[in-house]
Amino acid sequence: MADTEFLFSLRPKDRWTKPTRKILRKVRQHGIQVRLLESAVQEMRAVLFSQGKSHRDAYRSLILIKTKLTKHGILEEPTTIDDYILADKLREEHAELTYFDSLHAAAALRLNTILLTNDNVYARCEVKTITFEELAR
Amino acid sequence: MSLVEVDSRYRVTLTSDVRKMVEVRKGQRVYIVPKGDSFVVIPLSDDVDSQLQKLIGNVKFNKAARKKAETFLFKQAR
Repeated sequence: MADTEFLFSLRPKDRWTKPTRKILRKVRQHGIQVRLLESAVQEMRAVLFSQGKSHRDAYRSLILIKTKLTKHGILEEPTTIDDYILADKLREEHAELTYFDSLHAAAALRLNTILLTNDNVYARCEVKTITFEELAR
Repeated sequence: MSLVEVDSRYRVTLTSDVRKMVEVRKGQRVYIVPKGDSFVVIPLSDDVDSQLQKLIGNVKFNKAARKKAETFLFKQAR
């Protein structure tokens, strides 16, 4: 399950572009399943708008990202009410989690799956994670 | 404005009137998204990477940027 960093790493000059390209190759060639969290898209939009990007920039970027995801067979994982409930519970217990950290973590816990992330904040709430470099190997 | 028919393979023609208003080339990919009882068709750039870089290449994504996004979101919700 991929978080927001994965979306930004689809940019050609992002710091994580190299491992992401390897991951995408593995997805296509070896059938590794990577799904994108809806909460990652929510966070990406919030990041774009908070840095002055327009709605036009946002939807055009999302179309390009969707094009890349579709090409590599990466599906989306919707956010459920259960995720919001679990996310708020997680934030109550772990103050260090951001709003979006808790949503990503909640979805990963609900689905009992591994979160693809380079952020080590999730270890504290027992979410299983794998880094970009690890999955790219 | 133009009136066209959906053919036996569900294809429609973009007439010259439409092409005069929205530039589109043969072989170009388009993004189609349903919108209620209609569709929105958005022509895609041939070079996805360079377009993505141009649009959001300068956007920062780090702890500070995430915090700023969260603050922005909460302000919007108020």
